[in-house]
Amino acid sequence: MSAGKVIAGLAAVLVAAEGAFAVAANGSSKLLRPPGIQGEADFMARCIKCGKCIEACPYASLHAAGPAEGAAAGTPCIDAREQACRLCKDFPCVAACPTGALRDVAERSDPKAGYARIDEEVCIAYQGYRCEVCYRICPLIDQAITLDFQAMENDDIHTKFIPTINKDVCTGCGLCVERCAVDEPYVPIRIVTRAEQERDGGR
Amino acid sequence: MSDGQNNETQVKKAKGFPFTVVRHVVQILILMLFLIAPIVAGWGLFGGMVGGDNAIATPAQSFPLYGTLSSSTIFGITLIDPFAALQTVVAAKAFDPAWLVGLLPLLVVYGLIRGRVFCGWVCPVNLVCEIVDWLRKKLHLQVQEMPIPRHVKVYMALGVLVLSAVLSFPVFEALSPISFINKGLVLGSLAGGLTLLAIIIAELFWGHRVWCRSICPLGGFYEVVGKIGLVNVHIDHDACIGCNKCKKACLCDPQILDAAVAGEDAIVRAGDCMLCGKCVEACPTASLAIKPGRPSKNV
Repeated sequence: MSAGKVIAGLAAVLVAAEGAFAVAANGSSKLLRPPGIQGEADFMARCIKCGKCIEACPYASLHAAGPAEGAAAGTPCIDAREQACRLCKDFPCVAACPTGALRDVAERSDPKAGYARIDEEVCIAYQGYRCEVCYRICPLIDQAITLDFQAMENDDIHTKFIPTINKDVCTGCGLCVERCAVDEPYVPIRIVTRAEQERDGGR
Repeated sequence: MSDGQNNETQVKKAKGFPFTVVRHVVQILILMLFLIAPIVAGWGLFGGMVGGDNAIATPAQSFPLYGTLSSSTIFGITLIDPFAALQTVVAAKAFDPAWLVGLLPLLVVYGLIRGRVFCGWVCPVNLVCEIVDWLRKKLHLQVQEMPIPRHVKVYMALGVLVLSAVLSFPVFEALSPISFINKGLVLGSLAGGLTLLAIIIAELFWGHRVWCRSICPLGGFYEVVGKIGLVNVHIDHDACIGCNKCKKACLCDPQILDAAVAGEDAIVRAGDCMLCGKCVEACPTASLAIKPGRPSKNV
């Protein structure tokens, strides 16, 4: 009889721990979201984790977040380095969402899942190499990423082609991250996600 | 003695509809129904698919039904789990008429038949618990029958809604053991795994069907919906010999059969009943039947 109570208690503790972790982890995720997110909190309030956006993505860019994400486990997210969002013209992920967690996008420039940030220490363009990969691949070329021509120090002939992110235009699709030619010591471009933007004020 | 033998032979002859077998087939078919789209699309199971540079066939385009138990699309019609939609409403403090359109078909169908038909015939956790029942019997483990009252699950449902409102996310959707099975297979999502583990431990060593009978918030929601169901377990009081075999077989709570067996009600009225058919199968005199009709009490 008391063994039964111990088992019951153990089961309750398991679920309580799971629940507590979900609550504790709520609002701490940094996940890159699909197009149509209107803010991480808004998204978390509406997403029922049905997975239809994942099943509607023609590039299989979306996957369900892992259990370490707590309350966000099972929500759709993007690993930009593995497979970025292609900003489909008709946004099938947004169309599939039954609860409006993803909504209100019409143009390819509408999504605001985050913005790209370049690490000047590692990006080879800053060292004078002509790379331009992120600039060329950007779906919003010359709008979200522009090339800033800077004179090379101690060199009268050559110019640096510095990719420059326009935070307000960048959709956070992550294609630049996927294609970045550098990965040592780390990939010098990343997406500051909507969640990070909101939490840290963009830092 | 001879009466008893007569009854036994009657059972053999009057062996009715094989509810349990059919139910298990339905439960498994529904679980597999959601797997067809990802398989046909070539994505496979467990969400392992990663695309490339070109657009590929998606599960959404490859089969008329895709999604999960939380929301699916069938021939272009969106269905939303009504309880999930309710959690979204309170979590987002917002309402969109489209949600009503999505949740109504399920609510109406389950409402008209019986709320907890979902539990008995669709929910994969019920199937798991029936497997645990079988395992427990094999292992000769003794557990308690009703350690928690059955209406607790209604308060669990209310609690989930209150918590969803306070925490601003659909709470049960984050912890649901149903998701672990259904979405684990379709998407590789592991959310709710610990809940399922806890359920299996509790079922095996503590209380017989304690999750489904007394705790599950979704079951609590459907218990409330089930109070108006038009398909019910009917009893023929003249045929009933009061052997209580139906109560022993009941997957919900033996109590819900009390009024019917005592001759006070023509049907099993409690919203808990999930029309699993266990009582009908167990009845030696064929005095129980599942059929349409909801006569008022004392008929």
